[in-house]
Amino acid sequence: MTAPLDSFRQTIRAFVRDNLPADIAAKVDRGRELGKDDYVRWQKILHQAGYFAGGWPRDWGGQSWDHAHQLAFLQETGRAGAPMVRPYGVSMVGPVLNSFGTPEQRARHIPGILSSDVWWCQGYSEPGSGSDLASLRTRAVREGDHYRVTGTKMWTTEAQWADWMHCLVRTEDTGRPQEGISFLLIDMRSPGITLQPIITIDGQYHTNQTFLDDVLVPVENLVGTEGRGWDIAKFLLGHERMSISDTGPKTRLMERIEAMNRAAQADTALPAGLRSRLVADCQAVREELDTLVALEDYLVRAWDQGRPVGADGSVLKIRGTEILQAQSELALRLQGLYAGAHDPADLHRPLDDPDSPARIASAMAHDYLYGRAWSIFGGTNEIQRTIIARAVL
Amino acid sequence: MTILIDLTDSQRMIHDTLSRALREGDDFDRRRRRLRADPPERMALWAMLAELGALGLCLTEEQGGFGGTPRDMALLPSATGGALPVEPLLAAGVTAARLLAAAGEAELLAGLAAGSIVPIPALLEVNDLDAVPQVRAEGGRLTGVKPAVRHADVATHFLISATAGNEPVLALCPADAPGLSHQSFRLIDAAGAADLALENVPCRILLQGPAATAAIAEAIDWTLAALAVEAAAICAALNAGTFAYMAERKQFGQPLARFQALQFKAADMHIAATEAAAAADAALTALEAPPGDRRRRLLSASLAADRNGRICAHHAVQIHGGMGVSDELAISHHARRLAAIRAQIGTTDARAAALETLAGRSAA
Repeated sequence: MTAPLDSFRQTIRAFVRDNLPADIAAKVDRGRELGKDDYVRWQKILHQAGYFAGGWPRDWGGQSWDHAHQLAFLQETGRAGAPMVRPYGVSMVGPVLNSFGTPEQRARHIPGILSSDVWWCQGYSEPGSGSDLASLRTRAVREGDHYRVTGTKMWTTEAQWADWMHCLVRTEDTGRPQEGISFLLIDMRSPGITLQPIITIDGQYHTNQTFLDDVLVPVENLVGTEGRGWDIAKFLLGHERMSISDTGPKTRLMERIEAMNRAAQADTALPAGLRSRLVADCQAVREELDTLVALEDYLVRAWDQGRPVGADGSVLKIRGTEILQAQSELALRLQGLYAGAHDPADLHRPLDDPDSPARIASAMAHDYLYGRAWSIFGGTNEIQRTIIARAVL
Repeated sequence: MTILIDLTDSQRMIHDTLSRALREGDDFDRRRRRLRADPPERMALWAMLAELGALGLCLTEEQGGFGGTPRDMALLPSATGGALPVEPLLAAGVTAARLLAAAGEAELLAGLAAGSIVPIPALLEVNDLDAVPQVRAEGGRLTGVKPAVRHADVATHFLISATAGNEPVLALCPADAPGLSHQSFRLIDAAGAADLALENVPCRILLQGPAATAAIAEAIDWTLAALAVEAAAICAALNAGTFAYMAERKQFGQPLARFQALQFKAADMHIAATEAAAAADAALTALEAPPGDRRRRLLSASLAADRNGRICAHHAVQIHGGMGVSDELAISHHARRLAAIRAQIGTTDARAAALETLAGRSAA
């Protein structure tokens, strides 16, 4: 039995309040970067309470939550200041293994995903293959009971933390580019794997270029049928949709923006014209966010009642990223004379290091800069619009 | 290449010399390495640029400079726009130069032009271009706070707006004056800044009363014009890089330049950059207008620079995809400099509010 939505929300809220470790809560609250240990610790707490992988069917170790409960969980944990569950294991390769994997693959990998003892990253994009993922060229050549894998993957976020990578490779060159792609699980300790860190616009190290040089991968790590990896890639796009508009953290950010705006309104040293502009823009962004929350709520309830998902995920992704970008710009404007401050090192300061106006502004600048990536990662907003257009025209 | 028009041959030569020196002395990788060092090297190009006359462009020949007209001044931000030096070229070479020139400080001007001193202005205390300074100047001593002073970390002197009795003043003090303390931090474009706390800091009053007010207003207007030129130059650099990338990068078997969704973004970038160049030109012309009208026209130009800079920056990043949000391409650094410009000389909101006030006044 799944609890009715309202009481479920209250339960989750109370659970986060009582179980989120204070140091992790403080890091989220004060815009500090979370380390792998922080995520693992929180995900283990969720797992022990039966709240991890809630959207998975019970047979797979989940709770069989419907879309509405999955959404409520994401909203309430995000809003309460809990870290986002990292998607590469539980939201991506886990469902792939459950749908396409062999019993042996599931037995080997699912327990580690559920316990967060095994960390995953994804190897999809390549230097020449971003939006056009099907053009990927990393080659896997069958040699007896191994594939020999050679190529370069881009934007392998958290590869520096990962034990395993789920990877799209080319096993065949003939036919359409979508044919001949296969889905491989690669042990990150295999000889021939080198990471080159990529520093992003916010001055941080989140992601990598990953070089695969004659990496031997046992054939038992092929998921599904050789050459049918594109079906898995498409399946994964469907699974990303739930977290993509992420209204929990956005609601939290909006509350913070509104508090900063109240402080600006109380500061009579500021010109009246400046204050009225901030009022108008806070109101406009608030309306957009309220609409996004309504949109997310409307769509998941409709999905649970049989509405085909179609391009709905793209609608949520576009609006979610646009609204986050609008929020981050507004938050930056509210820093006034400090709106130019930004130091990547501020994300790594110890918690007992006091905040200053410049350091608070620095966290807002981080959100602004990294916010530009949201409309690019996971399929650019141009690609999402193409998907919508194809669906409706 | 410059976005400036109406240049004389000698202005063009100066521009080319500066651009070449920046291109050769400050290529992107070297800049990135220097600014990631601990501590960041923020004055590496100062001596070279002073040697080339970059700090004398706002000064007349009698003042030890190269001209002093708005279009002489504009050579500096036009030449630096693509290269993004973090040395305090505009703060010292434009804002401070105008203030010192108005005060007739020949010796300091000579030191500035030679690069031997680094005078940094600290003119705002709140996000309001018209606010009366709360820093007090009594008995030759300054007391108060100047927040978020850009380049304070590399200053040898500060030029500080203050109030003495009921009168506005412009005061000068050395950066190591007793009673002056800084709290430094980094800015989004990798330059430094600091909050200045002044406690009975001995100073010299350079200007007072209406002369101080006029000089400060004029220096701010020149700086707004310089920033508008810099923003337009950055838009041009962003567009050139993005359009080249669109021709080269292929997805789905075609160059990005063949996709209509991206063509329209590129067209919008071109409109924005052309507007930014026109607004920069209008700002330079407006510097020669009488003070009231001058400020209104400069605020408009400055808002145009911010609005169009934002369009070029965001589109350039988006079209570059993952590479656009990488620290390894100049694109994201240009975008960050434009974000810094939106928070320089008050934020865009403060400038919009000031324009609203002036426009309202002239309508009444």
